[in-house]
Amino acid sequence: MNKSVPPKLTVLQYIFLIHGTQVGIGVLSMPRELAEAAGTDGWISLLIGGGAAVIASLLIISVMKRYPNHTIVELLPLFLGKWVGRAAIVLIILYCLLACITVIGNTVGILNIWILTQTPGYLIVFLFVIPTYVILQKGIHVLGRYSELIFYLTLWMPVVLTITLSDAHWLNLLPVVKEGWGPIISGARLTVYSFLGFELAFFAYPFLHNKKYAALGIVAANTWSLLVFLHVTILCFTYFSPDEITKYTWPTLVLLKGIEYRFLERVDITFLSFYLLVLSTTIFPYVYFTIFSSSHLLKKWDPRKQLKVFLILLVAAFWLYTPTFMDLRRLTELWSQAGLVFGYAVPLLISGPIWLYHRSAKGRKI
Amino acid sequence: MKACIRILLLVMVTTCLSGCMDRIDLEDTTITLMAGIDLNEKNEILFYLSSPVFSKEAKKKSEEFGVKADTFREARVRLDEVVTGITLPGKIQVYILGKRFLKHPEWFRYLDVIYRDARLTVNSRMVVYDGDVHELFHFNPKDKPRLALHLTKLIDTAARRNVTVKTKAQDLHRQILEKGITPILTEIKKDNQVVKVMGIALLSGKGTYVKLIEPPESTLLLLLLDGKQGDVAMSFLLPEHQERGKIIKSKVSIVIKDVSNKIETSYQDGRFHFTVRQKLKISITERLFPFDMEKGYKQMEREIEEELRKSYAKLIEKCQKSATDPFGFGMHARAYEYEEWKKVKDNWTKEFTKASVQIIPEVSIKGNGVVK
Amino acid sequence: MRIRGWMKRKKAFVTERISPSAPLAQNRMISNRTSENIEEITNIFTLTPDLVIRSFTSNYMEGQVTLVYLDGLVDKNSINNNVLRPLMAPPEQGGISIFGLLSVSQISPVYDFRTVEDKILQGSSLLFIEGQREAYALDTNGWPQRAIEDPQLETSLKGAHQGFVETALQNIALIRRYIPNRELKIKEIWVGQRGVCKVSVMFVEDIVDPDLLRILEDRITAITVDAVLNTGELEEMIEDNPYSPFPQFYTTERPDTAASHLLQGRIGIIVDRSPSVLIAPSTFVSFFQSVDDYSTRWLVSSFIRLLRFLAMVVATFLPALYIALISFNYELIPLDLILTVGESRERVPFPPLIEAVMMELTLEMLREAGIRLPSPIGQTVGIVGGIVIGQAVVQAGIVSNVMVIVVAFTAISSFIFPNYDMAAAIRLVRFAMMGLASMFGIIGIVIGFMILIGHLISLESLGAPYASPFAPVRFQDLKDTFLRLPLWLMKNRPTSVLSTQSRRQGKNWRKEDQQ
Repeated sequence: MNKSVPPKLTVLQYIFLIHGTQVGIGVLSMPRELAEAAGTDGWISLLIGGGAAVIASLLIISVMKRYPNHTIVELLPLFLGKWVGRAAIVLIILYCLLACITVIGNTVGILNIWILTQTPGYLIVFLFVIPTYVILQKGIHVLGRYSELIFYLTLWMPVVLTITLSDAHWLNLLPVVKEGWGPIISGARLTVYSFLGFELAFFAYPFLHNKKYAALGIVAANTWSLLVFLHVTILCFTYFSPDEITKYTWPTLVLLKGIEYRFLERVDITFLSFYLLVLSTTIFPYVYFTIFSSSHLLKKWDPRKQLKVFLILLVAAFWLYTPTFMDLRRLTELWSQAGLVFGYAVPLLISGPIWLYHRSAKGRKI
Repeated sequence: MKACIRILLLVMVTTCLSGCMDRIDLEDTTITLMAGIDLNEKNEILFYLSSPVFSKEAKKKSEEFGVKADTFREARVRLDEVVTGITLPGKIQVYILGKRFLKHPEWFRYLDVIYRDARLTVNSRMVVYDGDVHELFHFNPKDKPRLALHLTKLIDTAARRNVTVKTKAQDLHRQILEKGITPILTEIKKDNQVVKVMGIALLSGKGTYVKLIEPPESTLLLLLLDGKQGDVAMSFLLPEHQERGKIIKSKVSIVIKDVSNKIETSYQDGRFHFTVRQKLKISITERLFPFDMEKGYKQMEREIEEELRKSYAKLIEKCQKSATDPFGFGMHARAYEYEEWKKVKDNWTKEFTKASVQIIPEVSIKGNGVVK
Repeated sequence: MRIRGWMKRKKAFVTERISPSAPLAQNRMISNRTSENIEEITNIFTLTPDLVIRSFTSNYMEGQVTLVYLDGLVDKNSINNNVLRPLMAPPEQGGISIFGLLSVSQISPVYDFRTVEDKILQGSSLLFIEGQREAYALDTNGWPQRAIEDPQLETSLKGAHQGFVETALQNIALIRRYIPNRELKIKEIWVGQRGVCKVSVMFVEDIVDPDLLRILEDRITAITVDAVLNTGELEEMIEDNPYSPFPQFYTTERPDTAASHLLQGRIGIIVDRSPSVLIAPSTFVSFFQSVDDYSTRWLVSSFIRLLRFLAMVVATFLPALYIALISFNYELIPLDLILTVGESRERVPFPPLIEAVMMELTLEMLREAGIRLPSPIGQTVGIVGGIVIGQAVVQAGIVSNVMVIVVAFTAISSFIFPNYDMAAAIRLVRFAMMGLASMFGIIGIVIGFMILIGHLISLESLGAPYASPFAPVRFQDLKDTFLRLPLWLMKNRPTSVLSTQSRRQGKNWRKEDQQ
């Protein structure tokens, strides 16, 4: 959060920052949600969802390209005037806040069921807050490094999942498009929140060192996330029976439960523990940008102090109330809706006027 | 200085807050390795647990307890009143399900905890026990390691030899819920102070126990289901070569090197047709009658194919008669004849009894052993 | 309250040091009367029995000549043969200046007593001549010195067997032998108020990043202390993050290591009176490299590199993993192993954390004991401690034998690191990990891992990222990280050093070129 030196992201860091944000809790439950909506054709929904995410992110880049040195929170007051702009910033803060609380809440929920059944939720949050502070206090370049490093450190995880291919029943995927396109489209809507994360380009774009690759980078990030989702979904669809998969809340983890090595049993626990690293690359950016936005509202306050207060409040919130599994579901749904607005609708709505504005400005110059 | 105080504070808070809630030291536990469920004559559910005893002072290597309870969890609570440590179910290797219990129509619901509680493993082997589960749990053979470990090894090796199937809890869940397949389990029996693998237990579409498939039919079932996994050895009696008046039987033994199943699915005349072309690459390991292989290996292939076909037909008939589809033909029906499948999917086993299933083995002899 | 007071005292001390000291205020010039000069000197050096003042008449000068020096800091031979003898010898020719007369390598005129004091303390001898307003500082230094020996900490199999000694000049010479090039430059900075010490900043001018050099110089010049006694003290005063357990500068006692770092564009800091050289900026990875890596075949050294990184993971996480598995996530242990572990744990009266901490502390004590004792006894202590205690503790049922294996394995792993500072840091991190594991099991370990990574990637050494080439990832530099690829593939200098000239190799001889 040191503003004196403009911190820069390399193209790879930018890609992995966005990719890391996209791959999170969604991966664990997505196969079930897709199966509920579209049966074993869910993977087609995923392709559609991925395509939509790519289009939306390209729109965002096309908007941000016009103002290469400003993040969204700096632009909003410029566009909308001081007070409306501030209100918009508050909305953005709320959005980022919603995202981090949803992801943290789900993380705690899963850990409480899967590994630490007795430990209260706020303790897990407290534990999680320490690395958050260590990394975020240094600013976006450290966050970028972290996301990139974690990406390389977790490359083995999809490989572990692939082991279940020996028990795959490819027949489950047939016939393709069995119930028509209706369920597939409705399934595509469910993938919205899994692909969320590309909207952080609103913030990350100005920090990108080599802006030529902004569009390419975000497409790469989306594509890589899509590949990860497809990998997991297809593995789950082939491993579980289509009648069975809807019974599991987190099919991806159950998938791993079946793997057994001579030297390590219960791969799911190991996997889930290390999956915390992946989850952290979802949580950290949202926390960072919450503070980033709020420091634009409260300029006099040291951002590092804001971060500290925010993290303490977070622990306190979980201490006062640990969300139930239904709360989490509602939160996820809410985030999904908000993401639909912030990630898809907003770029769609503002790219038109901005394009027109710049066209007319160009025309005037000539 | 400030940082020092901060770190100190952090450490203090951490140590104060954490009560090590999830901590259970290994020495305070009783790790359950084998669990059993049975139904007695009064239709009461009985739960059994067997755990290893580590103490050197104890004479026995493992402790076994049985309780009457309504649920599995309840049984664990009741057992905690008796055993030394806290019972932990995360390492259960084998579930012994009494045959009587499996005849109870809702038995699968009792296993809910295995799938709901994340700490339980789903890699446990599911086994049908023909008899009173009680007697198995109190069976302590002197020449064997702890019974749970012995059973685990026994089932694994038997499955490797394709004598029986190794159904893990996860597989059972899939098979029960999947409409296009009926579950199969390992069946064991205690016979004269020896625990013996009997073969494969067929369960109905609803999950209730139907019948036992004994080797070598069980091997054929597995060949059709999974292709080749592990070692497969078979012997055939070729009646054409039987020499009259001799005791020795005209038998030939083979090992199967590779199997590939190609299943064609169609729907005609109001019923499903499945044609399985099974390509087998085999090697002859034993032959008890004189035969000129160089000239007649084609004939030998034909004869073995014929024997296989007959055995398969018998097996399929058995399954159809008992309204079970352990082969998963239903999944093929779903994949290739979806429209028809949709109509019958809730009554697939009934529909399967009407289906025509043809197995066409295509044998090719790849090896003839060291002698001619 | 007491802490406050202590801090205040510390502050007061610092301000006192910065103000000019009393003698400097009345810095008197040398007079032309020797008797006055000698009086002044005896005033400055009171209670200094090793001060020698030798007055005699020379055949070349009119009046008294006086030689002043500190006994022990000068080379007696040099004084006798090159100063006293020429001055006392019968005159051959008249009118020769003092510079022609004395066969001493350096003679510099001195005019004030402040310099006289400094020069005498540095080991020069001062020559006062009656009737002259200047004295001569003669370079007759010769303090007790150690011969050049094999390095103690960083031993190597195939590398050179010369280590740095306590004299900066010699150390500089040792490095210059590897880089006989005019671009090898040295900047001298004097540090310390009482025990003034010469700090030589050494670099290859046309490849070093001038910004780094400036930052380093600024940091060294800003130091105001009594004295810098060794390299470690200097390091602590100029490092970026003093709260980190990790060393942020590489200290080496090998001239070849230092030279190789200088050639990569790094800066060497030589502190007089210390037998080690500080290398800045350093990266995390450089602590896992050793000179032998470059003198053995690349496949072998790549294997050893991998082994070291594996050892790092083991040394950091193994005891923690043991605790986590035994107290929390027993499900992970394979069945056969859990039965063995269960049997060996059965008699142990302590929880795993206490058991592990106890054994690890024993190990650390043994290690410290081994270092402090003379080497033959040190080895005995190691054997007695390792084997006898290990054996007895298991038989007494205080510790399980699996724990002994874990501790032994950890110990072996922590001895593999080529650098002592890094090994020490990892020892500390290990205890933190054990604490986390004992509270949250495997989740605790993963969180600890996250904190560790977060800390490492946010560390900087002279403003250069410490965790490079991992974060930020620099694919070029990965050639010399986990693996040590053949040298002819490493045509460029490591990019994490920010050197100004990246290329370091031209086209070398290759087999394919032969045709």
